[in-house]
Amino acid sequence: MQELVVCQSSHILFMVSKIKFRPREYRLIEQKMMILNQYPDSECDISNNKLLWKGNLCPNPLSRIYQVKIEYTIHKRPQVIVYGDCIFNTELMPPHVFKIDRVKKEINICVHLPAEFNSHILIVKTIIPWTIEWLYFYEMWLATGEWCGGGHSC
Amino acid sequence: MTNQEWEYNLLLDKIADEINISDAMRDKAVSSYQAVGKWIGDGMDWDVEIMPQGSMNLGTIIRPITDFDDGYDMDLVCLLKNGYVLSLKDIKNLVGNRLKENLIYKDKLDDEGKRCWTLNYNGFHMDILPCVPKNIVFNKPENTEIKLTHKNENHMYEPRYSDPFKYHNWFEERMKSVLNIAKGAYATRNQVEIDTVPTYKVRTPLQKAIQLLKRHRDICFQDKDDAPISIILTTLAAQAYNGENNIYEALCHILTKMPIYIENRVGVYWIENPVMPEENFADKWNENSNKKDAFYSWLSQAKKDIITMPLSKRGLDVISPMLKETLGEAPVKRAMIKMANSMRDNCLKSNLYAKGLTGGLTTHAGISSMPIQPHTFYGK
Repeated sequence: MQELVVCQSSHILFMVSKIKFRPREYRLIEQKMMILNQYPDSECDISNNKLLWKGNLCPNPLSRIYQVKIEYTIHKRPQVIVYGDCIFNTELMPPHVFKIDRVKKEINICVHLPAEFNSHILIVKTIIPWTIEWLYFYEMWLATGEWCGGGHSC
Repeated sequence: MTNQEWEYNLLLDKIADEINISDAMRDKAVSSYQAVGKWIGDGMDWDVEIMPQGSMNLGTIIRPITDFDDGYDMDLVCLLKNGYVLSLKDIKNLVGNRLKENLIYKDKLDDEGKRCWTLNYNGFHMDILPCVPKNIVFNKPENTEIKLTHKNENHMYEPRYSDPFKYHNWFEERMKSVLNIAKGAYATRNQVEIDTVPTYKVRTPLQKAIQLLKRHRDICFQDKDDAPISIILTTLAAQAYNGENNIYEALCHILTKMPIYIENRVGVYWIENPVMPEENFADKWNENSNKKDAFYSWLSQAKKDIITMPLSKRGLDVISPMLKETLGEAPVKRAMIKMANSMRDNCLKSNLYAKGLTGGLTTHAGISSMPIQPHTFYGK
């Protein structure tokens, strides 16, 4: 790209800077590969243009293990769902949650602002670690009644 | 140590800090006793030295179970260094009379106690123990035994002997290497000479372990008699301590080894004062066997409550009520909030990692760890 910068046209220069600084969009298969490379013990499949990841997460050596799934379609917000009995030992509504399905025992959590994730960002580097962090503050919230993880309300 | 044990150790450490006296209250107590010492010393011909003794001096003092930062007992030795010749009655009354000459102290003074004069301050009670050297010469650190006075039921004074200075040195010796490290760190942090750092200003695993044991004892016996006395817990814990550099391992070792230092001398239970072997801290056990039984049942309960049960369960929210019940609601909650806030601070400083999927959050970057990138939790 360096040699292109010497071009005289300001139009080309503009394009170069755009190409240079905007990371490319990740395909689902790339997201999947990066996840499984980092976390080979988890499950990840793609079908009908949707990525489905499932893993067991533990936010602290004193914590429980939580079952988590992530559903992701390009250009849409990844759905992060904590499910199973481990999250349903309370009637309380945890902070930073989109919705709770008590029949399916699923909690759809919100780990980022809309602007903090897009298809140019890797799930393995963001959504998964953020979910581990959410689970830590969730257990601390259950233990103390206070949410110490910060965040915004919608 | 497993990761689970290490993390639990960090939590116990934080809880111990939360049951400790606040710096402000401790500083207030220290400046108050220095003022009292000056007042007593200035008003009599005897050479007076006033020094803290007991838990305040050892750094093992704890908040009352109400969790208010007050109601502390501060034990002081008021030594008339050249008063070897004084009668027992004079030893006691010289100090008492001098206190009564000051209107402020007179107002704070309780009726004469069996051994002490007690001044009631806002936040603490100051028990002043008048005494003289047991031997003609009083020299630290070799000759430090003191003679104190005990007023019996017939209002007669009897001599008693003690050696709080030597006990303090013995206690320091039991944790020498970690104490030196802690004092060194304090000295660097505050830019002072290491020799000037008093033991009560630092926090070692032994001091913290004793604080947790005392707190467990206080809660265990809040509606029961025969609670084991602090000098027994402190002495046995310090005997059993084996230089562990963390509170969890220190507690495991102490709770297992404590009974070794309880002797049975031909049917007489004996916990030796390590600096005055003729003194038996467990003498009351031989008059009332309930006290001995209470100690052993407390010990087994403490092992279960502090070590076994919390580590047998998973979930910070599951462990938390167990610890709140046995160590106190407020300090456990504060300790956990501080841990969570520290996690949040590390996250904001980009100093937080997720170790694999199940290794938990950590501040140490490793091969399997993924940095937690800046983000904002959202939603309701």
